[in-house]
Amino acid sequence: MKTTFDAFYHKYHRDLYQFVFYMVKDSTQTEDIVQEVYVKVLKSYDTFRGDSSEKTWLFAIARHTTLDFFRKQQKRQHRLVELFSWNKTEHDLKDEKALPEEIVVSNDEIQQIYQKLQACSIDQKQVIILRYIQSFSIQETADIMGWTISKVKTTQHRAIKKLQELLH
Amino acid sequence: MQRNNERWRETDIEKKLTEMPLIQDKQSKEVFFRKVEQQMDKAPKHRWRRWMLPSLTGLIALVLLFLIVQHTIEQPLQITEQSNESDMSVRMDSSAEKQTVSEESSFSGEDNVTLNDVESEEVVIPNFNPTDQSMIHYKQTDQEHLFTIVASDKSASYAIPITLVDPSSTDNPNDYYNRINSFLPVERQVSYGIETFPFDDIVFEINHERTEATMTVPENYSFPEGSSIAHLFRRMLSLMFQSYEIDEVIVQTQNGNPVKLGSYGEITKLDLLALEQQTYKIYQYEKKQPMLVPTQTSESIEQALKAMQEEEPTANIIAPIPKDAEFQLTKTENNLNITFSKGNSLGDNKQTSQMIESILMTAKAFNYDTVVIDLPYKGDKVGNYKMKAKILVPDGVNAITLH
Repeated sequence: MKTTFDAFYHKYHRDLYQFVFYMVKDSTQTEDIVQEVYVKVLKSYDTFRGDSSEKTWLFAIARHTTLDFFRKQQKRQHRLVELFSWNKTEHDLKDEKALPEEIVVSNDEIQQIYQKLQACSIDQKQVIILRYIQSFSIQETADIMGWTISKVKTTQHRAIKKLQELLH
Repeated sequence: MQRNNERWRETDIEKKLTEMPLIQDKQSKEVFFRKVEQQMDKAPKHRWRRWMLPSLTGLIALVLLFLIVQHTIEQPLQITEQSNESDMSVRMDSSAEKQTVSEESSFSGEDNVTLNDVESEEVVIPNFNPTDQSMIHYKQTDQEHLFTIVASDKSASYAIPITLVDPSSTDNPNDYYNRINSFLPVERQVSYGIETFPFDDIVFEINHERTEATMTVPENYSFPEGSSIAHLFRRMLSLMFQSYEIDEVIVQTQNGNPVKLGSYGEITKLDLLALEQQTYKIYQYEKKQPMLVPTQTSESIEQALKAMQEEEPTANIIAPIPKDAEFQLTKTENNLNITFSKGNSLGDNKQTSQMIESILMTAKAFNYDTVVIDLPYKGDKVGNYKMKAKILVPDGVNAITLH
């Protein structure tokens, strides 16, 4: 197990952490999700058939684990709305997370993009992160998302358009 | 700061995205490994509970099934009607139990990580015979390359996409876009009832890695006359280059001069249309071979499907969804569910098959991956399409297979 862990950590940990962090924007939640991804990978590595590349397989697991996290979070928020709020909307309950140090020291434009990324849909965010922040190819992104190439292209195009609208 | 008062260009955003800083994991590898190890140790408890629940359910189901079957066998002399009822109940119970077991099983499968663990339902890719007159195409192998070329309807109102299917391609688009009309000889134009655009004088240079396209024409190039031809031409190029994410085409003569392009005047570049959320209808000229054509942009998939009930006889456009059909939609992230409650002509027939193909293409234009169709008739399929199953959206439309 340690050998597989070491190999994955060495090859992919930086990118994996980066992907999850930009999705959830919280270091504690990122650590939990990344940990869960490793558990899944280590448990199922023996059954990995190599139909896709190891990296694509890992990021597909990371994507699903992050989606599960969002689903659970959404359910929690629904319950919170029901329990504690008569007038507040779900949106009001979403906490504004502090900017990470790396973003704070970046220029104003980077900070704006980082914040506006939050307003994109989950699909759009994933495609943006994979394509631009992590430099995955369209084919790799399509494999990770389980989509067609044309769907990746369209989602990417719409995401950039959306960011463009939000930045004005 | 400097951008507050000026427009962010798409390229600026793309550039800035690539410059987003690396966010570091602050915990050490050793600490992280210990956490993973602890989590791995915890895992079997969950697995035991998840495994036990469906297994117990399955066991109980089997015992119940055994008791019911035993009971039926022990009373063979009851009157026929009663016996039939028992049979029926055994079948119903057993299928209900199967369903329970299978639902529980899929729950227990949460730990088995595969690429499909979020959407585990089977996706159906229709099978076609060479004799089937289908208007859509699914890639048969990974080696197969698809290129979209275009023609127009007889009245030059619509650009019609045609997918070239090349099973052994160089994958160089320039090999195809510089001889578009050679794929549409006169006999093919006649059998489809279409017109070709005079592409022969135009040389396209497509760099799909850089998402750039250039069109070069001779110095004495004369663009076809007609007030709407420039718009049709723009729509044609947009359809052809959509999959390469090309937003504009550089337009020039052989000496690098601007080109007079009909009503657009003298231009050096042509912005392409986004052509998203298109509504597909059927173009059929004088009972020739029908073709799917994107006719308009719709605000929503609901609007698009409603628009698909409207025919345009003057342009030989047939409404793919019957006027009397009533339907309801359920949408998930990537799947569109259409349940028809009314529609006298809906059934296992050519018209319904064409309706399904039009819906699949429209759903694709709205970014759905799969479509589930439920019709108010008892059969489980229409032509090549399985009902109540997730049908994958097609890869191509109005396909012509080369070689």
